[in-house]
Amino acid sequence: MKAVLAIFSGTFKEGARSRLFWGILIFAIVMLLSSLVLSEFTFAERYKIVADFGLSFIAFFGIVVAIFVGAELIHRELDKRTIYVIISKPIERSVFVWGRYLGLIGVILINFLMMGVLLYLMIYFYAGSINALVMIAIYGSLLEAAMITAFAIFYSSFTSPFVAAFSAFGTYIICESIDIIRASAAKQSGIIRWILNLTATVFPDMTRFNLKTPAVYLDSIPVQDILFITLYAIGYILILIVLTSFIFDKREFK
Amino acid sequence: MKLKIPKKVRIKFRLKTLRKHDLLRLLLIGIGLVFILLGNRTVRSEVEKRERFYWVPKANYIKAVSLEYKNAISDFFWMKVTLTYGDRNFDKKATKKDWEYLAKLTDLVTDLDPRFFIPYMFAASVLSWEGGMPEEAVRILKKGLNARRDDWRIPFYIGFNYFYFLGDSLRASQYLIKASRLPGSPKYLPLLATRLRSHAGDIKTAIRFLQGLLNTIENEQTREKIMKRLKALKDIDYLQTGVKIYRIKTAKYPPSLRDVLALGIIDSIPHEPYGGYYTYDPKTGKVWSSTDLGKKVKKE
Repeated sequence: MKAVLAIFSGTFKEGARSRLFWGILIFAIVMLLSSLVLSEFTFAERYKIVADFGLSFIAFFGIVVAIFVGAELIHRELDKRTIYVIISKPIERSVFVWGRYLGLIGVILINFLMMGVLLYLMIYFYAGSINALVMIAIYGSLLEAAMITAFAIFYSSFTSPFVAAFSAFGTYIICESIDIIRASAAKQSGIIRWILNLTATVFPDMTRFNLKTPAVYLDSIPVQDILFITLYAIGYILILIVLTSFIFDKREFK
Repeated sequence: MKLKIPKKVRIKFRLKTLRKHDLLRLLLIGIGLVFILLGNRTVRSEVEKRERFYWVPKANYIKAVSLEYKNAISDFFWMKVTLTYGDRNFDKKATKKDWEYLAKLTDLVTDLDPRFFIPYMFAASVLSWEGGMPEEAVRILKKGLNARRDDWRIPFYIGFNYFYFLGDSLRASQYLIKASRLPGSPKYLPLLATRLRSHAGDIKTAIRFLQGLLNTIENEQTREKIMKRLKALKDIDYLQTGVKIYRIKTAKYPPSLRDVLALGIIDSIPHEPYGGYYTYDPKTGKVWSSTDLGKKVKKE
């Protein structure tokens, strides 16, 4: 546990110091603020416009950080050869993977917190209303980002960072289009139908994490649903990180 | 091993290189700016640009590629609507193609985010009142019946379009009854719905309906149009009542509206808001407007 914490804090500091992270964060903040300008171009319903764009930008940039930083996370250690220092220590490799993963989640969490606070301020000053639904929607996006990070780390355990990032992006698109994949499977037959159905079953259905619409239209979100998506996400993350550490265990470092 | 450079040395080093390339860099930036300014125009004709401008993507494709961002993307297309419509003198310059473009965009927006209310109001007010596309407006509004189940304004708008623009009072009253059952609907709706069945052509029914509509529309341009129409209808109603009283008093239709005025039944003959005057037919006793409520006014 101590070892996990050590790697976690190392990764966290590394992430918080990385230029990529800050670059993306600053860009995200500029985009968030731009939604104030965008909302000027509509007749009314300012809250809707600010919340729509704000939540979408938060979700999008969360995914971007997850893909790019996640795909590079383990490779960077290999590249800088710092991995030898760590694997020579008496710690399990899976501990290393978990530490790295949780460290990055910490960084993403900070990212979401900053953007979330900014969005709340914007909504408060611009639309004059505050509600907890926006926070729940951000939480849904955070779970999404955490899952995509797990996918990115998983892919990066056996391919190059570029291929891993690309695959993670593809995975994100698949996970957001599960309903379309199912619908097109129904129109196909034979092996294609089978493959499409398998894809829709294996990959997580991320449309469930999209709570932006209820947040914008002030619908109530059942507490059970929040619990269910949390379980769903943790389930996938557990499996992916365990698989990653399994592959990592088998790898030889020369 | 990381080589530690003292801060002072680092700054000096950077300043030195900056000085070295300062002029060259500024020059390059300047050249870049000039190039951007020079290149920021096009020889292509205005016609070609406008052709491209009318293109509206299919809702299904946009839905597939917008992943979890459907609402924000719908807002983006909505902004296109408001920017196009908000263009100065749009209603004077607009061609049929412009209106079709706006209708298509509104259709797309309500496909992507069917719960977004303002586009429905836009369809009900601008598309039918200014764009002359009541059928299109009704088609778009019908999507809102499902997506905004509890919103009485949607069936109210549909009912109004059926009554006022499409001349189908029966359907209009059906939609009004639907609207009257929804929370927050005004109390006059059931009465208006029954009136529509019995006195469909009655001016008072239209006045009542228009007043109700006016309360729900925020768009200034459409509000002005509705108020103009209301004034004309109220004037006609006023004059018509005067004619009726004249007939009761004298047992015959007045030869002209002036005679009604001369008897002191009415205070004045109001100005017709569309720039015409109020006509009167002594044979039938009917009052109407010379411009047929602005329909005969030549468009500039």
